[in-house]
This record gives sequence, C-alpha cells and structure tokens, in this order.
Amino acid sequence: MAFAVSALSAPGAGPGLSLGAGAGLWRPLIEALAARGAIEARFTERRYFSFRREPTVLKGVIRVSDDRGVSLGYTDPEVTTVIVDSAGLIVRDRKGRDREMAAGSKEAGAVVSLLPILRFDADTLDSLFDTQVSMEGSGWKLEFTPRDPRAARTLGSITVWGTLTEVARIEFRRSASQRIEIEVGETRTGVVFSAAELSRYFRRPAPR
Amino acid sequence: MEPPRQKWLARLLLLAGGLAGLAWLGSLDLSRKVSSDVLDLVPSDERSPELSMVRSLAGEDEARVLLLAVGVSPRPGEPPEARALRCDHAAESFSEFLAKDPAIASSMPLSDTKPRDDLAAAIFNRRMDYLLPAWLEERRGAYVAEGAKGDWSAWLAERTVSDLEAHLARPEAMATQDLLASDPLLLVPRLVGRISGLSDTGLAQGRSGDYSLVWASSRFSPLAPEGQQPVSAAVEGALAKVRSSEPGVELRWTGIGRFAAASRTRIEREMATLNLLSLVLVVLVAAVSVRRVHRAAHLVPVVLGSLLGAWVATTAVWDRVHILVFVVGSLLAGVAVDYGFYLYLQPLKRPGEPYMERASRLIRPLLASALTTVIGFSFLLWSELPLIRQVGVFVSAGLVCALGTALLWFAQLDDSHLDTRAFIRRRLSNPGPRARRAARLALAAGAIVAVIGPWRLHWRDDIRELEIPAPELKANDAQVRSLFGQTGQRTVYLTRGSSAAEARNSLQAFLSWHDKEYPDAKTATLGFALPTEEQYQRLPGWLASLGGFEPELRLALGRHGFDPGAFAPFFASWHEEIQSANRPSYSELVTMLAAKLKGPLSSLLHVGPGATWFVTIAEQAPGKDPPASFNTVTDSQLQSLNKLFGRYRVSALRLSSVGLGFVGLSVFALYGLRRGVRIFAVPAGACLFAFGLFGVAGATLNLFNLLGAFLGVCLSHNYAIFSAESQGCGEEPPPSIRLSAVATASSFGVLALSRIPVVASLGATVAVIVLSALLITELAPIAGSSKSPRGKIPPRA
Repeated sequence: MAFAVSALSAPGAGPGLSLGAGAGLWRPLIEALAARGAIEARFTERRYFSFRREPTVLKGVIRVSDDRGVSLGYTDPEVTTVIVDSAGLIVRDRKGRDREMAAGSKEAGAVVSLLPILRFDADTLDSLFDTQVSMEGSGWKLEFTPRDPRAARTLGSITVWGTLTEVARIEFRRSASQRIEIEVGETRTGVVFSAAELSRYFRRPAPR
Repeated sequence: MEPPRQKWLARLLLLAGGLAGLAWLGSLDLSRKVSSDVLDLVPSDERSPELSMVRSLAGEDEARVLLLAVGVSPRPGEPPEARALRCDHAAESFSEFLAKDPAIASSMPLSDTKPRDDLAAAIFNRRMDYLLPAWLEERRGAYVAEGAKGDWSAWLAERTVSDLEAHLARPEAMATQDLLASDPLLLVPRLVGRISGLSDTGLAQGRSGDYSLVWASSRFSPLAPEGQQPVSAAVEGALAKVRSSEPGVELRWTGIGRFAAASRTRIEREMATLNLLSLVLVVLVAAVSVRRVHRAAHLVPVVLGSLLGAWVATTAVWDRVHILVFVVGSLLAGVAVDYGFYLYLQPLKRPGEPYMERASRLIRPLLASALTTVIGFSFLLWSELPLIRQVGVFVSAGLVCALGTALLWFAQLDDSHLDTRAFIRRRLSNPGPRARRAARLALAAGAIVAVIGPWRLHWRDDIRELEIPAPELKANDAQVRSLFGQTGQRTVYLTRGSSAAEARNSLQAFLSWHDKEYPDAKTATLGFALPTEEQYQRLPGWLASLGGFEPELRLALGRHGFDPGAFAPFFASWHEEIQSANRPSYSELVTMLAAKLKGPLSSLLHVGPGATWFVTIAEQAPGKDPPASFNTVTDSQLQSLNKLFGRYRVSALRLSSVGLGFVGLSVFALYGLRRGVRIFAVPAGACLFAFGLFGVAGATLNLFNLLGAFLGVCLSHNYAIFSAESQGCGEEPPPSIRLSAVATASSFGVLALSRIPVVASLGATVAVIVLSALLITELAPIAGSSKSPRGKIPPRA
C-alpha cells in the first residue's frame, strides 16, 4: 500500500495519468484496492434528474465479494437488492423475488459497470474503459470513460474518489443534471459473508 | 392334375391384379403421399381448441424456430469478458452465414436488440392507445376503493406524481429517465417491469452461461423434408465457415425439424425391420410345422398379395397416409397368411380331391371369418381419427386381397395341399380326469382374471407415444432450451380466442385466476401491452372526464419538486390524445402490435384468421391446469393431448363395440344362436382375459390397446369358426388353426418389440388375445369331455 501511495505521489503522477502513459504507476494502486477482499460498506446514493430540482436520496449497504460480485442492498426508501455479477444483473424485491436483466440491456444501465470498478479488476477495466488517474488533496481520483462510444454516450463517465485503499465516492455522470453520486460511508474490509448473507444478497444457485 | 383352364384363369387374374397394383404404386410420389407428421393422425377439422392450436403452432412460424447456442473454447489466461466478446462475435458471424442459406428464412443473434427496440418504439408511440385505457381503469378503481371525495382529476394528478416520485428511487429509474419527460404516467416503464419475465426466458438475453444465443427460423415447415435435411446442412455449413476464423467454436442447437427427421428415419427403419422379421417368423412357423419346407414358399404370395392390396386401397382412398399405418400394417403378414394355411393345410377328404371341391368345402368358414373381420374393421371408417380409419381400410382391404390371392394362387397349382408334421396335429382326444381337471382349473383361473383384472386397468393417451422416443435429442433439446431460459421452474400458458378481443378477455380472466392460485408467481405476457376491447372503447369517455387533469398535474409536479416545464412532451401527447377523433379499431390495434413482432418476439402473440392467442410465462413449476372456461392451456397439455385422445378412445370404444356387435350378429346369422354364442364366447373371453391380465399386471393402456383388442377379437373369431365347422362335421379341428394362431401371435409379438409405444401396445394386446383364444379352443374340448384315455394322433388325410 505504501508503495501505491508513494507511486502516486511521484512527480510523474501529475494531475492526470492515462493508462498507456503510466500503467506502472497506477497499477499498484489498483492492485492494492483489488487485494482488499470482500467489503461491506454503508452508502448514500443521490440521483439527479433533469426534470427534478432536488436529488432523490437512497440509502443502503454495499457488499463486494471476489467471486460473487457486487450487491447493493437498498434499505431506504424501499427494500431492494441489486446484484451485479459475471452472469448479469438481478433486481431482488423485498419478498426475495428475482428479476434478471441482460447485462447489456438499457434497463441494467450503468450499474453493471460497478462490478469491474468495485473489484478493481485491472484487466477488465483496461479492456472496457479509458482510465485517468490523478491526485486530489490527500486522496486519489480514478476517472473511467467507456471505450465503446455508444456506451460512453449512454453511461457518460464514472469517477471514483478515495484515500489510501478506501473508496469515498463514486459518480456516474451523463451531464450536470443527470448523474448519480454514491457516498461510501463506514467500510469493513476482509469480510466473510455467512451462507445466509450470500443467499440473501447475492445470486442464488439455479434450482436443479 | 387341376384343369388347365382353371389354372390359366387364376394366373391371369393374379398377374393382372399384381401388375395393376404395382403400376398404381409406381405412379405415386410416395415421399409426398406418406406422411410422418403426427398431426396427420388427427382430423383436419378437429374442433378441439387445443388441437387446433397445436395444428396452428405446427403450421405457423412458431414450428420453424431454431434455437442455437454458440460457444468458444477458452484461451489460456483469457479474462471471461474477453472470451464472452469473442463468443458474441462468433455468434454474429454464424448468424450472418446462416441467414444467407436459402433453407433459412431469418437468423439473428439474441444480442441484436432491433426487434425489441422496434416493438418498444411502436408501443411507446401508441402508448396512449395501448396502455392508457387499463391505467385509467385501474386508477379509477383505486379512487373508488379509497372512497376519495375530492375532484377525480386532482386525485389522479396527485397519485401520478407520487408514483413518479417512488419510481425515481427504484433501480430502473436511471435507465428510464429519458422516457419520463414524455411518460410521467409511467405507462411504458410499468409495462417493461410487468413483461420482464419474457426477457428472463432468454428472449432478451444475448448470452447464457458460456454461450451466445442465436435465433433462426427455417423457410419451410420442419415437418416437410425440405425443412429438415437442408436446414441441418445450412447449420453445418455456417458452423464450418465460422470455424475457419474461430477454430474452437462449438454449437448446440435444436428445432422441431431435427425431431421430425429423426422420427421419420427411425420409423422407416423400424418398418423395414418389423416387416422383415414378421415375414421371417411366419415362414419359420410354417417351416417348422410342415413336412416339405420348401413348399411353404407358396404362402409368401398370399402375404405379398395382401400387402399390395392394402397399400393400393389405402393410398387410393387418402391423399396423405401416415407412415404409422404401414408400420401397424406389417401385422398383415401374420393375419393374411391365415387363409393360406386354411386352404393349403386343409386335410384332403380323399386322395386326389380336386382343388375346387376342397375350396368349396372351405368357402363358408373362409368367407365367414374374412367377412366378419372386414365388417368389424369397416366400422372403424366412422372413427374421428384418420389413423384409425386408415388402419380400418388397410386391414379390411388386406384381408379381402389375402383371401382372393390365396384362392387364386392355390387354384393354379397342381398340388395345392401341404401336409403338416405330426406334433401339430397331436390332440388329447380322450383326456383323463387329471387333464380335464387341469383344463377346467386353467379356464376357471382365466375366467377369474377376466372378471377381476379389467377393473384394475388405468387408461392414458399421449400423442408423443405415437413416435419413437429420441432420448439423446430430447436431452439436447432440454439443454439448449434451458440455455434459452426455458426451465422446469416456469410454466408456459397459451390463451386463445376466435378474435383478438375474445382472446384478450380470456387472458384477463386467466390472469385473475392465476393471481389467486399462485399469488407469489409472477406472470409475463404481451397481453399486458393491450387493453381489453371494453377498456379501449371506454377511453374517449375517460378522457372527457379528465378535463382538469393537465393543470392539476402541473401543480402536483411543482409541489413535489419537479419542473413542470420539463414535461412538455407529455402534455403535447395528452392534448393530441384528448382531441383525437380517428382512433384505430380494436382489431387494427392488435394487428398493428402483432406486425411489430419480429424474430424471437413473434411467438408471443399470434393473430390469424379465426384464431388469436397470447403466450403467458409464469414463474412457477407446472401445476394445476386452468379451468376450461379461460380458454387457456399449458404447453404440456398441448404436448400430450391426453384429454383429446381420451375422447377419441371413448369414440373408438363405441365403434368397436358396434363393430363387434355386428360381427356377433353375422355369426349368429350364419351359425344359429347356440353355435353362434359358443363361437363368439371364444374371442370375447380371450379379450376379457387379456385386459384382465394387463389389469393384474398394473399396466396403463391406451387407445391402441383398444384397437389391438378389436383386431384380436376379429382374428381369434376365425379360430372359433373353423373349430365349430370341424366340430359340426364331426372332425378334429384342422391344424391350420394352431399354425394360424402361432403365426399371428409371432407377427404381433414382433410388433410388441417396437420402440413406438403405441405399436408395442397394439402388438402385445393382439398377441395375448390370439394366444388366449387358441388356449381356449384347445382347453374347452378337454374340459368339456367326459371320457378318459389318452390322446392320439388323428389319422392323416
């Protein structure tokens, strides 16, 4: 970790570093973030719409598992779980009923991008996004722009702010009036999810 | 020596008949004439709604669908996403190559969103017609249920904005945000949520596991030859082309054509094997039983003449004949040879007895047995099932031709008598008390089985039993379909109506029933995108009652933190809808929607002349069938057609009973009441015993067991007639009865080995009845005799 931070603090890191120019510098940070293992964190999500003056605010718990994907467990205003994994996207309602969506569908939207981003999967990020890294104060900022122009038009850009190995904020931005901000609160790393939690918050095995 | 004139006349007639028959068959295009389509077994004008649906499904585009899953082998160190992209590219190339083949009507990877986008655009553009009527009715229902006292427009505006606000907190809000300025009523997002189950089935999934999915349809029906092999060749060709750039590509695919082609090949092979085996067994029985084996070859022309006549008659009467008729028809070898046995093996009254004298002695029982069987089978012509009608004609014509051929063939031989071996003629002429007791005991045990057993029978029909099961193809089909999301945890329902309005009303009733029966199981149907006809007709009235809605909505939007000005596109559409004077008719509305269904979406709604149906997918394992009044069936009901075939079974039972009644009456007319009853008791007893035996064994019978029983009764009738004739003359029963029964049982025993379940049922039933009848005719004289000592071989004629 110290290596990652020192690498970012090096003169070459500058205000913004693209993948091609500084892979050797930003990779240690990505690898350190990826090595955190399973994570559980509280979050507050603010959704900004072009037709609404105030953002819509949602709260919940985010869970990241190396092998089971990412789970956004909304608790307020409605209980809903959104699961993103390598097989696609699932929306689970409060009764536990699943609705599956194709990962590339319009319905699934930007949320599927959370999987490679929150896992900090360097190879996948490299294949899907043009990545810019920069320092902001005592922390860092990773800005991902989809390489596919169509996805870039639909999703806009995704920015992740953090300090050391903590992610502080994620923003999906199509425009100033259309964006989502996710503020990540108290975070626990190296979490071991129980079988009940895995079943409740992640994809369940298909019935035989 | 027989008179030369008699011999030449017989030869001339045989030659003329044979040549005419062969010429007729040679003039036919047998590949067109002989069908392997299971639906050709049931009436074209069948009124049963589920069958008309199956017919439509089989005849329409739905049956032409091919489901294909393309996979690529992984490369070392390759990330899953990169492999998935490679797989997508392979699927796209495969689909492009496939679409170019003339055997293929269309092909597209499921990742191609164009059909869905086009449908979504069509629904969005007409959302006020498609979705607003049901939305307004539901809201009005809630307004009434709440007992709201305020202004209806103001209530509706407030409720609309509350719903909109709640929607923004849902996961799908960001994906639908571009729509909401035009659709704050959430008509389209709500529909998307309700029909999401259709996507889950794989319709919207470009990928499944390690596979990328491709949907295609063949240009021709999969039940026709041009929709089978050319399609397989097209798939193989496209795969080979993709392999040139992606060597590790693999393909799994399924389609009705694969089953139809395999079924036809297997049935043809089975037909050849069964016919050959049947003929070999009959010849073997004859060879073992007669003294000069080579002379048993004279029985072969009788069988061939019978089969030729049966083929000619059946193909002359029907435009299309199902291949199963010829498989079942292979039994004729065992039946037709009977007449040969009766004529050829009949002991001579005196040495050198002329053929005409012997034939005239036999003509009465021969005609009695042939005509009673023909009369019985002729009743099958009134059956609703074309298969049964065709079998009726095949057997009747075959038997008449067998009798004619036998009479003519032996008329042109100088020596038309063949001696049987001694063991065939051996009888217990004076059985002892032990033999009598044993015979009585056996008959009594048989009677008990015949009385008790039938009550334990179970009946079930399944149209799938008309084909040879193909387990490997079925397993492949199930695997491919599961990749497309069709698993056992979902139930597919089809709701039909003679018009779109009727079908939509039935769908509404079915969905209400389903909600009550399976409250936790979600349903998805394109029917959600259509109002009922009544809802649609009420729309102008609803809009007229909502004059104040627009200003109220603007106020409510402002109150809840929205910018009312951002919703200008919606207000423009609302104005247009209120002022609209020329709305399409309801049927036009449905037709417009159906026209937008392309590719994999085309199976969700069918609009045809006189029949419309909706597909509904429910998230629950198959369970209780919906009540008939909802005009809704599950796909499993359609696959088995059990109820329909149950009805055919009852109809066949009625016809067989009438047929048997006539057979019995003709016997009474020919032989008088007392002898008639004794004759008729043999086949009737054998039949009851056979059913009793099946009942005791716990067998489940079907329509074909019934048909087999009818055939068995008619055949075993012959043995009783010949026994009675001999008894009337004070003679031992002729050995031909034994030979005939064993030959018939052998030939039907072969059928019992068939891999087509219904053919096996028929074969087993006839074999058991015929053997039982033979046993009764053998045991009855022993049981009824009063004197003892031992049996002896009757003197040879």
